Amino acid sequence: MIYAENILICIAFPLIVTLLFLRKSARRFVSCFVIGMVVCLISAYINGFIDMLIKMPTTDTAIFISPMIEEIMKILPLLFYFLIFTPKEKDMLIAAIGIGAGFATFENCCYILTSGADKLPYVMIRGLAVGVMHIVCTIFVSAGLMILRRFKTVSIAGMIGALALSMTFHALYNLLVSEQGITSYIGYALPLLSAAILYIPYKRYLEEA
Amino acid sequence: MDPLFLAEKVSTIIQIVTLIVLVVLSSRLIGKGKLILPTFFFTFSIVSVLLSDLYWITFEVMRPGERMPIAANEISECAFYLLLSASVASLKINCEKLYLKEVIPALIILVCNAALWIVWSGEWLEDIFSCIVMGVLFSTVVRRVKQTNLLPVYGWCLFYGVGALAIVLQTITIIKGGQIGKITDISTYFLIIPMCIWFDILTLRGIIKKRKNTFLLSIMGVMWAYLSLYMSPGYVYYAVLLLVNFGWVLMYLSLKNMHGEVYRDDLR
Repeated sequence: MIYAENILICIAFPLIVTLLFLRKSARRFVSCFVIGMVVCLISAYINGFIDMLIKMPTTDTAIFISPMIEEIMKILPLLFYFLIFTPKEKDMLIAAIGIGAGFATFENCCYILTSGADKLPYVMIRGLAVGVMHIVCTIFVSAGLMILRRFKTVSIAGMIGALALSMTFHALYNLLVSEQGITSYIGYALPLLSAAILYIPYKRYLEEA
Repeated sequence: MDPLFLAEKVSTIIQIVTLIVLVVLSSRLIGKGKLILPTFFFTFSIVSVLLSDLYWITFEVMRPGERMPIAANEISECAFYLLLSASVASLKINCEKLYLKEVIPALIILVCNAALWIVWSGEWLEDIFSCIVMGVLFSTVVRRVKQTNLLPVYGWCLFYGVGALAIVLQTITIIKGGQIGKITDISTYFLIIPMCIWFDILTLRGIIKKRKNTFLLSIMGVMWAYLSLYMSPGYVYYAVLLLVNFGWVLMYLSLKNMHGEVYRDDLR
Protein backbone atom coordinates (compact mmCIF):
# COMPACT_ATOMS: atom_id res chain seq x y z
CA MET A 1 0.00 0.00 0.00
CA ILE A 2 1.20 3.51 -0.77
CA TYR A 3 0.00 6.81 0.63
CA ALA A 4 -0.87 8.61 -2.61
CA GLU A 5 -2.06 11.78 -0.85
CA ASN A 6 1.30 12.11 0.93
CA ILE A 7 3.16 11.66 -2.35
CA LEU A 8 1.00 14.36 -3.90
CA ILE A 9 1.74 16.77 -1.04
CA CYS A 10 5.45 16.02 -1.32
CA ILE A 11 5.58 16.73 -5.07
CA ALA A 12 3.01 19.51 -5.27
CA PHE A 13 4.24 21.82 -2.47
CA PRO A 14 7.56 22.79 -4.08
CA LEU A 15 5.71 23.39 -7.33
CA ILE A 16 3.12 25.57 -5.60
CA VAL A 17 5.94 27.64 -4.05
CA THR A 18 7.58 28.06 -7.47
CA LEU A 19 4.31 29.63 -8.68
CA LEU A 20 5.19 32.71 -6.60
CA PHE A 21 8.29 33.28 -8.70
CA LEU A 22 6.93 32.39 -12.11
CA ARG A 23 4.98 34.51 -14.58
CA LYS A 24 2.77 34.01 -17.67
CA SER A 25 3.24 30.72 -19.60
CA ALA A 26 5.57 29.15 -17.05
CA ARG A 27 3.13 29.85 -14.21
CA ARG A 28 0.22 28.54 -16.31
CA PHE A 29 2.11 25.34 -17.10
CA VAL A 30 3.12 24.66 -13.50
CA SER A 31 -0.37 25.33 -12.11
CA CYS A 32 -1.89 23.02 -14.72
CA PHE A 33 0.75 20.42 -13.88
CA VAL A 34 -0.34 20.49 -10.22
CA ILE A 35 -4.01 20.34 -11.27
CA GLY A 36 -3.16 17.29 -13.44
CA MET A 37 -1.69 15.54 -10.40
CA VAL A 38 -4.74 16.32 -8.25
CA VAL A 39 -7.02 15.07 -11.03
CA CYS A 40 -5.00 11.84 -11.17
CA LEU A 41 -5.51 11.27 -7.46
CA ILE A 42 -9.28 11.91 -7.70
CA SER A 43 -9.50 9.56 -10.70
CA ALA A 44 -7.77 6.86 -8.66
CA TYR A 45 -10.34 7.32 -5.88
CA ILE A 46 -13.25 7.06 -8.33
CA ASN A 47 -11.70 4.04 -10.10
CA GLY A 48 -11.25 2.30 -6.76
CA PHE A 49 -14.83 3.06 -5.76
CA ILE A 50 -16.25 1.73 -9.05
CA ASP A 51 -13.97 -1.30 -8.81
CA MET A 52 -15.50 -2.13 -5.41
CA LEU A 53 -19.01 -1.38 -6.60
CA ILE A 54 -19.13 -3.54 -9.73
CA LYS A 55 -16.60 -6.15 -8.59
CA MET A 56 -14.91 -6.44 -11.98
CA PRO A 57 -11.45 -8.04 -12.25
CA THR A 58 -8.67 -5.42 -11.96
CA THR A 59 -7.50 -5.92 -15.58
CA ASP A 60 -11.04 -5.42 -16.87
CA THR A 61 -11.44 -2.25 -14.81
CA ALA A 62 -8.18 -0.94 -16.35
CA ILE A 63 -9.41 -1.75 -19.86
CA PHE A 64 -13.04 -0.68 -19.70
CA ILE A 65 -13.63 1.73 -16.82
CA SER A 66 -10.35 3.61 -16.18
CA PRO A 67 -10.08 5.26 -19.63
CA MET A 68 -13.58 6.71 -19.26
CA ILE A 69 -13.04 8.00 -15.73
CA GLU A 70 -9.55 9.36 -16.37
CA GLU A 71 -10.45 11.15 -19.58
CA ILE A 72 -13.61 12.67 -18.06
CA MET A 73 -11.57 13.88 -15.10
CA LYS A 74 -8.88 15.38 -17.36
CA ILE A 75 -11.37 17.18 -19.58
CA LEU A 76 -13.17 18.83 -16.63
CA PRO A 77 -10.43 21.37 -15.64
CA LEU A 78 -9.65 21.90 -19.30
CA LEU A 79 -13.31 22.65 -20.07
CA PHE A 80 -13.53 24.99 -17.09
CA TYR A 81 -10.52 26.93 -18.34
CA PHE A 82 -11.81 26.89 -21.92
CA LEU A 83 -15.36 28.03 -21.14
CA ILE A 84 -14.75 30.47 -18.29
CA PHE A 85 -11.47 32.16 -19.28
CA THR A 86 -11.77 31.76 -23.10
CA PRO A 87 -7.99 31.49 -23.41
CA LYS A 88 -5.89 32.03 -26.53
CA GLU A 89 -5.12 28.86 -28.49
CA LYS A 90 -1.46 28.87 -27.37
CA ASP A 91 -2.47 29.14 -23.70
CA MET A 92 -5.04 26.39 -24.10
CA LEU A 93 -2.36 24.06 -25.48
CA ILE A 94 -0.03 24.87 -22.59
CA ALA A 95 -2.82 24.11 -20.13
CA ALA A 96 -3.61 20.81 -21.85
CA ILE A 97 0.02 19.71 -21.94
CA GLY A 98 0.41 20.73 -18.27
CA ILE A 99 -2.61 18.72 -17.14
CA GLY A 100 -1.53 15.69 -19.19
CA ALA A 101 2.06 15.84 -17.96
CA GLY A 102 0.99 16.31 -14.31
CA PHE A 103 -1.42 13.37 -14.56
CA ALA A 104 1.21 11.12 -16.17
CA THR A 105 3.94 12.11 -13.69
CA PHE A 106 1.83 11.43 -10.61
CA GLU A 107 0.56 8.13 -11.99
CA ASN A 108 4.13 7.06 -12.80
CA CYS A 109 5.34 8.03 -9.32
CA CYS A 110 2.64 5.92 -7.68
CA TYR A 111 3.23 2.93 -9.96
CA ILE A 112 6.97 3.02 -9.47
CA LEU A 113 6.56 3.21 -5.68
CA THR A 114 4.24 0.20 -5.86
CA SER A 115 6.20 -1.97 -8.31
CA GLY A 116 9.76 -0.76 -7.82
CA ALA A 117 12.10 1.00 -10.22
CA ASP A 118 14.76 -1.68 -10.52
CA LYS A 119 13.77 -2.86 -14.02
CA LEU A 120 14.84 -0.35 -16.65
CA PRO A 121 12.55 -1.70 -19.47
CA TYR A 122 9.51 -1.36 -17.20
CA VAL A 123 10.50 2.19 -16.24
CA MET A 124 11.06 3.07 -19.90
CA ILE A 125 7.61 1.72 -20.85
CA ARG A 126 5.96 3.67 -18.05
CA GLY A 127 7.71 6.84 -19.10
CA LEU A 128 7.56 6.64 -22.86
CA ALA A 129 4.27 4.85 -23.40
CA VAL A 130 1.81 5.58 -20.59
CA GLY A 131 3.28 8.98 -19.81
CA VAL A 132 3.16 10.15 -23.42
CA MET A 133 -0.32 8.66 -23.90
CA HIS A 134 -1.84 10.99 -21.27
CA ILE A 135 -0.23 14.02 -22.88
CA VAL A 136 -1.40 12.98 -26.37
CA CYS A 137 -4.97 12.49 -25.10
CA THR A 138 -5.17 15.97 -23.54
CA ILE A 139 -3.70 17.49 -26.71
CA PHE A 140 -6.43 15.70 -28.72
CA VAL A 141 -9.11 17.17 -26.48
CA SER A 142 -7.70 20.70 -26.50
CA ALA A 143 -7.22 20.57 -30.29
CA GLY A 144 -10.84 19.43 -30.66
CA LEU A 145 -12.09 22.26 -28.46
CA MET A 146 -9.97 24.83 -30.32
CA ILE A 147 -11.24 23.66 -33.69
CA LEU A 148 -14.81 23.96 -32.38
CA ARG A 149 -14.16 27.53 -31.29
CA ARG A 150 -12.44 28.37 -34.58
CA PHE A 151 -15.61 27.25 -36.41
CA LYS A 152 -17.70 29.20 -33.84
CA THR A 153 -19.61 26.07 -32.91
CA VAL A 154 -18.80 25.17 -29.31
CA SER A 155 -21.59 22.66 -28.58
CA ILE A 156 -22.21 19.71 -26.27
CA ALA A 157 -22.05 17.38 -29.28
CA GLY A 158 -18.62 18.71 -30.21
CA MET A 159 -17.32 18.44 -26.66
CA ILE A 160 -18.56 14.86 -26.33
CA GLY A 161 -16.95 14.15 -29.70
CA ALA A 162 -13.58 15.44 -28.48
CA LEU A 163 -13.94 13.48 -25.25
CA ALA A 164 -14.89 10.30 -27.11
CA LEU A 165 -11.82 10.67 -29.31
CA SER A 166 -9.42 10.79 -26.36
CA MET A 167 -11.35 8.15 -24.41
CA THR A 168 -11.29 5.60 -27.22
CA PHE A 169 -7.61 6.26 -27.90
CA HIS A 170 -6.81 5.70 -24.22
CA ALA A 171 -9.01 2.58 -24.06
CA LEU A 172 -7.37 1.21 -27.22
CA TYR A 173 -3.94 1.65 -25.63
CA ASN A 174 -5.02 -0.05 -22.38
CA LEU A 175 -6.57 -2.93 -24.33
CA LEU A 176 -3.49 -3.45 -26.51
CA VAL A 177 -1.07 -3.54 -23.58
CA SER A 178 -3.28 -5.74 -21.43
CA GLU A 179 -1.72 -8.90 -22.89
CA GLN A 180 1.91 -9.73 -23.60
CA GLY A 181 3.04 -10.21 -27.20
CA ILE A 182 2.79 -8.33 -30.46
CA THR A 183 -0.32 -6.39 -29.40
CA SER A 184 1.50 -4.93 -26.40
CA TYR A 185 4.37 -3.75 -28.64
CA ILE A 186 1.85 -2.04 -30.93
CA GLY A 187 0.29 -0.49 -27.83
CA TYR A 188 3.61 0.81 -26.51
CA ALA A 189 4.46 2.33 -29.88
CA LEU A 190 1.03 3.96 -30.29
CA PRO A 191 1.50 7.02 -28.00
CA LEU A 192 4.98 7.85 -29.32
CA LEU A 193 3.80 7.47 -32.91
CA SER A 194 0.79 9.70 -32.25
CA ALA A 195 2.99 12.27 -30.54
CA ALA A 196 5.29 12.28 -33.58
CA ILE A 197 2.30 12.71 -35.92
CA LEU A 198 0.85 15.46 -33.71
CA TYR A 199 4.16 17.28 -33.74
CA ILE A 200 3.91 17.97 -37.50
CA PRO A 201 0.69 20.09 -37.37
CA TYR A 202 1.85 21.60 -34.07
CA LYS A 203 5.10 22.82 -35.65
CA ARG A 204 3.18 24.21 -38.63
CA TYR A 205 0.76 25.91 -36.23
CA LEU A 206 3.65 27.51 -34.32
CA GLU A 207 5.17 28.77 -37.57
CA GLU A 208 1.82 30.30 -38.61
CA ALA A 209 1.35 31.89 -35.19
CA MET B 1 -11.96 -21.33 -40.11
CA ASP B 2 -15.47 -20.65 -38.79
CA PRO B 3 -17.47 -18.93 -41.60
CA LEU B 4 -19.20 -16.65 -39.08
CA PHE B 5 -15.81 -15.52 -37.73
CA LEU B 6 -14.66 -14.88 -41.31
CA ALA B 7 -17.83 -12.92 -42.17
CA GLU B 8 -17.35 -10.81 -39.06
CA LYS B 9 -13.73 -9.98 -39.81
CA VAL B 10 -14.33 -9.30 -43.51
CA SER B 11 -17.30 -6.99 -42.86
CA THR B 12 -15.42 -5.10 -40.13
CA ILE B 13 -12.35 -4.66 -42.34
CA ILE B 14 -14.56 -3.42 -45.22
CA GLN B 15 -16.15 -1.01 -42.77
CA ILE B 16 -12.79 0.30 -41.50
CA VAL B 17 -11.43 0.78 -45.04
CA THR B 18 -14.65 2.58 -46.09
CA LEU B 19 -14.45 4.84 -43.05
CA ILE B 20 -10.77 5.71 -43.60
CA VAL B 21 -11.49 6.64 -47.23
CA LEU B 22 -14.51 8.71 -46.15
CA VAL B 23 -12.51 10.54 -43.47
CA VAL B 24 -9.84 11.49 -46.03
CA LEU B 25 -12.38 12.57 -48.66
CA SER B 26 -14.64 14.53 -46.33
CA SER B 27 -11.72 16.32 -44.64
CA ARG B 28 -10.72 17.47 -48.12
CA LEU B 29 -14.25 18.82 -48.51
CA ILE B 30 -13.78 20.97 -45.37
CA GLY B 31 -10.83 22.63 -47.08
CA LYS B 32 -13.11 23.81 -49.89
CA GLY B 33 -14.51 26.42 -47.56
CA LYS B 34 -18.26 25.89 -48.19
CA LEU B 35 -20.71 24.19 -45.82
CA ILE B 36 -17.83 23.99 -43.37
CA LEU B 37 -19.87 23.18 -40.28
CA PRO B 38 -21.98 20.29 -41.62
CA THR B 39 -18.91 18.78 -43.30
CA PHE B 40 -16.74 19.26 -40.21
CA PHE B 41 -19.29 17.58 -37.94
CA PHE B 42 -19.84 14.81 -40.48
CA THR B 43 -16.08 14.12 -40.66
CA PHE B 44 -15.83 14.23 -36.88
CA SER B 45 -18.71 11.72 -36.58
CA ILE B 46 -17.05 9.35 -39.06
CA VAL B 47 -13.78 9.58 -37.08
CA SER B 48 -15.74 8.56 -33.95
CA VAL B 49 -17.15 5.46 -35.66
CA LEU B 50 -13.72 4.62 -37.05
CA LEU B 51 -12.14 4.71 -33.58
CA SER B 52 -15.02 2.73 -32.14
CA ASP B 53 -14.55 0.06 -34.84
CA LEU B 54 -10.80 -0.11 -34.28
CA TYR B 55 -11.42 -0.68 -30.59
CA TRP B 56 -14.05 -3.30 -31.29
CA ILE B 57 -11.93 -5.28 -33.77
CA THR B 58 -8.95 -5.16 -31.39
CA PHE B 59 -11.19 -6.48 -28.60
CA GLU B 60 -12.52 -9.26 -30.84
CA VAL B 61 -9.00 -10.29 -31.86
CA MET B 62 -7.65 -10.22 -28.30
CA ARG B 63 -10.64 -11.63 -26.46
CA PRO B 64 -12.68 -13.64 -28.99
CA GLY B 65 -16.15 -14.69 -27.90
CA GLU B 66 -16.08 -12.59 -24.75
CA ARG B 67 -19.01 -10.24 -24.10
CA MET B 68 -17.87 -6.63 -23.87
CA PRO B 69 -19.18 -4.63 -20.90
CA ILE B 70 -19.76 -0.89 -21.22
CA ALA B 71 -16.61 0.51 -22.82
CA ALA B 72 -15.17 3.61 -24.45
CA ASN B 73 -16.28 2.56 -27.93
CA GLU B 74 -19.90 2.99 -26.88
CA ILE B 75 -19.16 6.59 -25.94
CA SER B 76 -17.74 6.96 -29.46
CA GLU B 77 -20.96 5.56 -30.93
CA CYS B 78 -22.99 8.04 -28.88
CA ALA B 79 -20.66 10.81 -30.06
CA PHE B 80 -21.34 9.65 -33.63
CA TYR B 81 -25.10 10.22 -33.22
CA LEU B 82 -24.63 13.59 -31.51
CA LEU B 83 -22.10 14.84 -34.06
CA LEU B 84 -24.29 13.72 -36.94
CA SER B 85 -27.25 15.56 -35.40
CA ALA B 86 -24.99 18.63 -35.01
CA SER B 87 -24.13 18.29 -38.71
CA VAL B 88 -27.84 18.19 -39.62
CA ALA B 89 -28.69 21.05 -37.26
CA SER B 90 -25.97 23.25 -38.80
CA LEU B 91 -27.51 23.02 -42.30
CA LYS B 92 -28.98 26.37 -43.24
CA ILE B 93 -32.70 25.89 -43.90
CA ASN B 94 -35.11 28.82 -44.11
CA CYS B 95 -38.02 27.18 -42.23
CA GLU B 96 -37.55 26.94 -38.45
CA LYS B 97 -40.93 25.42 -37.47
CA LEU B 98 -40.68 22.74 -34.76
CA TYR B 99 -43.10 20.18 -36.33
CA LEU B 100 -43.81 18.48 -33.01
CA LYS B 101 -46.64 16.44 -34.58
CA GLU B 102 -44.06 14.65 -36.72
CA VAL B 103 -41.26 14.49 -34.16
CA ILE B 104 -43.22 13.08 -31.18
CA PRO B 105 -44.49 9.88 -32.92
CA ALA B 106 -40.95 9.20 -34.18
CA LEU B 107 -39.65 9.54 -30.61
CA ILE B 108 -42.41 7.25 -29.28
CA ILE B 109 -41.35 4.57 -31.78
CA LEU B 110 -37.74 5.00 -30.66
CA VAL B 111 -38.63 4.73 -26.94
CA CYS B 112 -40.64 1.54 -27.60
CA ASN B 113 -37.68 0.25 -29.55
CA ALA B 114 -35.36 1.00 -26.59
CA ALA B 115 -37.77 -0.82 -24.24
CA LEU B 116 -37.46 -3.89 -26.48
CA TRP B 117 -33.66 -3.61 -26.43
CA ILE B 118 -33.75 -3.55 -22.63
CA VAL B 119 -36.01 -6.63 -22.46
CA TRP B 120 -33.80 -8.43 -24.97
CA SER B 121 -30.34 -7.55 -23.61
CA GLY B 122 -30.93 -6.51 -19.99
CA GLU B 123 -28.37 -3.73 -20.34
CA TRP B 124 -30.78 -0.98 -19.32
CA LEU B 125 -28.23 1.76 -18.62
CA GLU B 126 -26.51 1.47 -22.03
CA ASP B 127 -29.83 1.11 -23.85
CA ILE B 128 -31.38 4.17 -22.20
CA PHE B 129 -28.25 6.18 -23.00
CA SER B 130 -28.26 5.00 -26.64
CA CYS B 131 -31.98 5.79 -26.87
CA ILE B 132 -31.41 9.37 -25.67
CA VAL B 133 -28.64 10.14 -28.18
CA MET B 134 -30.49 8.39 -31.02
CA GLY B 135 -33.53 10.44 -30.02
CA VAL B 136 -31.54 13.64 -30.50
CA LEU B 137 -30.56 12.56 -34.01
CA PHE B 138 -34.05 11.23 -34.81
CA SER B 139 -35.82 14.42 -33.78
CA THR B 140 -33.32 16.67 -35.59
CA VAL B 141 -33.48 14.69 -38.84
CA VAL B 142 -37.27 14.23 -38.84
CA ARG B 143 -37.73 17.96 -38.22
CA ARG B 144 -35.26 18.89 -40.96
CA VAL B 145 -36.86 16.49 -43.48
CA LYS B 146 -40.27 17.99 -42.71
CA GLN B 147 -38.92 21.56 -42.97
CA THR B 148 -37.46 20.83 -46.39
CA ASN B 149 -40.51 18.85 -47.65
CA LEU B 150 -38.28 16.05 -48.86
CA LEU B 151 -40.77 13.27 -48.14
CA PRO B 152 -44.26 13.09 -49.67
CA VAL B 153 -47.28 12.30 -47.46
CA TYR B 154 -47.23 8.59 -48.38
CA GLY B 155 -43.54 8.56 -47.38
CA TRP B 156 -44.40 9.75 -43.87
CA CYS B 157 -47.24 7.19 -43.65
CA LEU B 158 -44.75 4.45 -44.59
CA PHE B 159 -42.19 5.81 -42.12
CA TYR B 160 -44.54 5.71 -39.12
CA GLY B 161 -46.50 2.64 -40.29
CA VAL B 162 -43.41 0.47 -40.73
CA GLY B 163 -41.95 1.75 -37.45
CA ALA B 164 -45.11 0.91 -35.47
CA LEU B 165 -45.58 -2.47 -37.17
CA ALA B 166 -41.95 -3.42 -36.53
CA ILE B 167 -42.43 -2.66 -32.82
CA VAL B 168 -45.59 -4.82 -32.69
CA LEU B 169 -43.90 -7.71 -34.50
CA GLN B 170 -40.80 -7.59 -32.28
CA THR B 171 -42.99 -7.49 -29.15
CA ILE B 172 -44.74 -10.66 -30.34
CA THR B 173 -41.31 -12.21 -31.04
CA ILE B 174 -40.16 -11.55 -27.49
CA ILE B 175 -43.42 -12.51 -25.74
CA LYS B 176 -44.44 -15.55 -27.79
CA GLY B 177 -41.10 -16.98 -28.93
CA GLY B 178 -41.08 -20.37 -30.67
CA GLN B 179 -42.33 -20.77 -34.25
CA ILE B 180 -44.59 -17.69 -34.15
CA GLY B 181 -41.71 -15.66 -32.78
CA LYS B 182 -39.46 -16.78 -35.64
CA ILE B 183 -42.07 -15.79 -38.23
CA THR B 184 -42.64 -12.35 -36.70
CA ASP B 185 -38.88 -11.83 -36.33
CA ILE B 186 -38.22 -12.59 -40.00
CA SER B 187 -41.22 -10.44 -41.01
CA THR B 188 -39.63 -7.46 -39.24
CA TYR B 189 -36.59 -7.74 -41.52
CA PHE B 190 -38.89 -7.77 -44.55
CA LEU B 191 -40.29 -4.46 -43.29
CA ILE B 192 -37.20 -2.60 -42.10
CA ILE B 193 -34.61 -3.55 -44.72
CA PRO B 194 -36.81 -2.51 -47.70
CA MET B 195 -37.45 0.75 -45.84
CA CYS B 196 -33.72 1.33 -45.56
CA ILE B 197 -33.21 0.44 -49.25
CA TRP B 198 -36.09 2.77 -50.20
CA PHE B 199 -34.37 5.70 -48.47
CA ASP B 200 -31.09 4.75 -50.17
CA ILE B 201 -32.84 4.76 -53.56
CA LEU B 202 -34.41 8.16 -52.78
CA THR B 203 -30.94 9.46 -51.85
CA LEU B 204 -29.36 8.04 -55.00
CA ARG B 205 -32.10 9.62 -57.13
CA GLY B 206 -31.56 12.91 -55.33
CA ILE B 207 -27.80 12.74 -55.94
CA ILE B 208 -28.24 11.95 -59.65
CA LYS B 209 -30.83 14.71 -60.13
CA LYS B 210 -28.72 17.05 -57.96
CA ARG B 211 -31.58 17.78 -55.55
CA LYS B 212 -30.95 19.91 -52.48
CA ASN B 213 -30.70 18.41 -48.97
CA THR B 214 -30.59 14.73 -50.03
CA PHE B 215 -28.05 14.41 -47.20
CA LEU B 216 -31.05 14.26 -44.83
CA LEU B 217 -32.58 11.32 -46.70
CA SER B 218 -29.28 9.45 -46.59
CA ILE B 219 -29.23 9.86 -42.80
CA MET B 220 -32.79 8.50 -42.64
CA GLY B 221 -31.55 5.42 -44.56
CA VAL B 222 -28.60 4.96 -42.19
CA MET B 223 -30.89 5.31 -39.16
CA TRP B 224 -33.15 2.50 -40.41
CA ALA B 225 -30.07 0.41 -41.18
CA TYR B 226 -28.83 0.97 -37.61
CA LEU B 227 -32.19 -0.04 -36.14
CA SER B 228 -32.12 -3.31 -38.08
CA LEU B 229 -28.42 -3.77 -37.20
CA TYR B 230 -29.13 -3.63 -33.47
CA MET B 231 -31.79 -6.38 -33.72
CA SER B 232 -29.78 -8.71 -35.95
CA PRO B 233 -27.75 -11.77 -34.94
CA GLY B 234 -25.08 -13.68 -36.89
CA TYR B 235 -24.90 -13.46 -40.67
CA VAL B 236 -27.81 -11.02 -40.94
CA TYR B 237 -25.84 -8.58 -38.76
CA TYR B 238 -22.89 -8.60 -41.13
CA ALA B 239 -25.14 -8.26 -44.19
CA VAL B 240 -26.85 -5.24 -42.60
CA LEU B 241 -23.43 -3.84 -41.72
CA LEU B 242 -22.68 -3.67 -45.45
CA LEU B 243 -25.93 -1.73 -45.88
CA VAL B 244 -24.74 0.70 -43.17
CA ASN B 245 -21.44 1.09 -45.08
CA PHE B 246 -23.34 1.86 -48.26
CA GLY B 247 -25.40 4.40 -46.30
CA TRP B 248 -22.22 6.18 -45.15
CA VAL B 249 -20.96 6.39 -48.72
CA LEU B 250 -24.33 7.87 -49.75
CA MET B 251 -24.10 10.36 -46.88
CA TYR B 252 -20.73 11.55 -48.15
CA LEU B 253 -21.89 11.70 -51.79
CA SER B 254 -25.01 13.68 -50.91
CA LEU B 255 -22.96 16.09 -48.79
CA LYS B 256 -20.55 16.54 -51.67
CA ASN B 257 -23.55 17.12 -53.91
CA MET B 258 -24.68 19.91 -51.57
CA HIS B 259 -21.24 21.53 -51.89
CA GLY B 260 -21.88 21.59 -55.65
CA GLU B 261 -25.24 23.29 -55.02
CA VAL B 262 -23.54 26.03 -53.00
CA TYR B 263 -20.98 26.60 -55.72
CA ARG B 264 -23.66 26.88 -58.41
CA ASP B 265 -25.61 29.33 -56.23
CA ASP B 266 -22.48 31.41 -55.85
CA LEU B 267 -21.90 31.54 -59.59
CA ARG B 268 -25.38 32.90 -60.33
